[in-house]
Amino acid sequence: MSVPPPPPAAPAAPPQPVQRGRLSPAKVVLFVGAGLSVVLIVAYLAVLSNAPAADQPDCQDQQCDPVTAPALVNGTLFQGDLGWQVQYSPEYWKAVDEGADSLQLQDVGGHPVWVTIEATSGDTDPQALFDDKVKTLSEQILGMKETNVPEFAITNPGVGDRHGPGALYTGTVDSPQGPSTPVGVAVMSATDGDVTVVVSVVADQKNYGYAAQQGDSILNTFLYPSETDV
Amino acid sequence: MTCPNCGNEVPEGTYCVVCGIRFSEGGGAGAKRGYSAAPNQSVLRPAPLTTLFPQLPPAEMTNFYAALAVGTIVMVVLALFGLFPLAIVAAAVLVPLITVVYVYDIDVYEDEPIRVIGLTMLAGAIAGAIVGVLGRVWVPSGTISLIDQGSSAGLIRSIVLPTIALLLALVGPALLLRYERFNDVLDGVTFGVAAAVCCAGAQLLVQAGPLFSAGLRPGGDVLDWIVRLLSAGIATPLLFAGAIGAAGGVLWLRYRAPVRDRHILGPLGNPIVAVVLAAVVLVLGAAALEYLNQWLSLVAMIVLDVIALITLRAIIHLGLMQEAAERAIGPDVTCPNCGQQTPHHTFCSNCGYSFAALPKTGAGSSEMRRT
Repeated sequence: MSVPPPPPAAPAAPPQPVQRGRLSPAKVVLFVGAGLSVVLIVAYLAVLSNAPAADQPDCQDQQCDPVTAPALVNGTLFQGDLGWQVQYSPEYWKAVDEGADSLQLQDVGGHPVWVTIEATSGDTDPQALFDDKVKTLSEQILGMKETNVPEFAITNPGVGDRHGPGALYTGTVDSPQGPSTPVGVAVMSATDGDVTVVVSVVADQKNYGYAAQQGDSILNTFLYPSETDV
Repeated sequence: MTCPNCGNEVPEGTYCVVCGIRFSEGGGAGAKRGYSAAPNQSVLRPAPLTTLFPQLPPAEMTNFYAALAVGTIVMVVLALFGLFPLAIVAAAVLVPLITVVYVYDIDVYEDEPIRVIGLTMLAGAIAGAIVGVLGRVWVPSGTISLIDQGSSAGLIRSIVLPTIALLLALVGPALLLRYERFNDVLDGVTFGVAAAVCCAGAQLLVQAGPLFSAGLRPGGDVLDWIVRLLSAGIATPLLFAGAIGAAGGVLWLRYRAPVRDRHILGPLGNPIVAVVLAAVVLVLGAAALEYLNQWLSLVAMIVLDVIALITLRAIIHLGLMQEAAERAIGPDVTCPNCGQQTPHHTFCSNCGYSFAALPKTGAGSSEMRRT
């Protein structure tokens, strides 16, 4: 006697449709992607139309000539306690901070350019002073990174007639409200054995060419204590 | 059976249809409560989407996470190519854009979408733009901020500006507080979140103005930028949304909830206390960005995000619970979330989904939500 097969199980109730929005799954991503694309295209065009004029020198594969600094006429003299001195033109600069062995100059021609000179005793290694300055600035500047733009390359880094470590950096000023101004920063350091000095030139990227020239005009006047006696 | 949590006589089921508590197998002790807008999640789980978009159906959640992921990838790829100005734009619009798609997809206020949500978001964007302008003109901004490190500048950037952003972002939602048709705590949260993300985005765009005139590749370290973009494009809008959305929810709970529910949050339900706490959260976020390095500030922002999101979830949860008050249990209906039959009240007895969190689209959902 065979056992009758069990009756087939009752079919499960069909699943009820669950609540969904207006958009199909693919459309949600599509809408966000399309919206983002439109905004980015507009932003791309806006950035291109506002971009600074390309002023590339014809020296991509070779060393550019160094920029020439304007001649200093009727300069203002600043002397540090350690015996160093520097001159700057009041026509272009004003001193916004003067310490015993530090000087901060601001461009008075409407360009956002600052030059800061800080000196310490000669037993400080220029490389260490340079590294400290770079570290301090990198904590203030978003994404600060060394660059080698040919037209602004620091071909012979140093301060005054002394050679030492030097480099050019780019980055962006940041704040809790958001990143804002792209900047160019040059840092150089040197020593004569009696005094070690570090110089930083900070400027908006679009003013960096001007800043390099003006900064160079100041650094050319820098005299170490051993040179001021001559 | 008698619910061990709310004490009401309720039908048997996995969840109480009145208070949304999940019954343990014994039905009494050990009952476990899920987040009312997403019963499969804890109130203490800082899930961004179920918190910022509580009316988003669970079936839609994956799509919105995918959209957020795609936007984040776009932002990171732009940064990898050094296109920082474009990456900043992506960071500024990503979360507001997802909010717009959410509002459209769910049709939160289908009768007057432009007037209600559109103007709320516009008000938030204007608030952010004002703060962005203040951030550029009020304190040393641009290159000078590297030189002029006055002590007041940091305090203004980390205390004053975030507080102004909070107050201005609440103006739009506060204007809607007087309309009786927007009487749910969820309304306050939705308005607060919508205004907040637009405020954060607009502030970022205005502050970043000088970046847009420096060419497509202004130069800089890519990794630093990626960390900053995650902070500006994801962590900051989440913080704004959590803090301002919570303040909006408290405003609604105090002025729109039934009188007996207005003190459900205790002293934290006082609007002034809520606004002050929201300001503290935003100030801590700004201070982290002002004084910590990129990585530490991102970690701090994530911690603050977690706190703000959990607070917002608690307010949404209480708001949805509050709406269950004194409502008779109705006949069986089909749950729009799980598709099962459930006695009609505030929560599905099978999946625990809150009908108050339903979007207004879909057959019968509006009636189910409001009755």
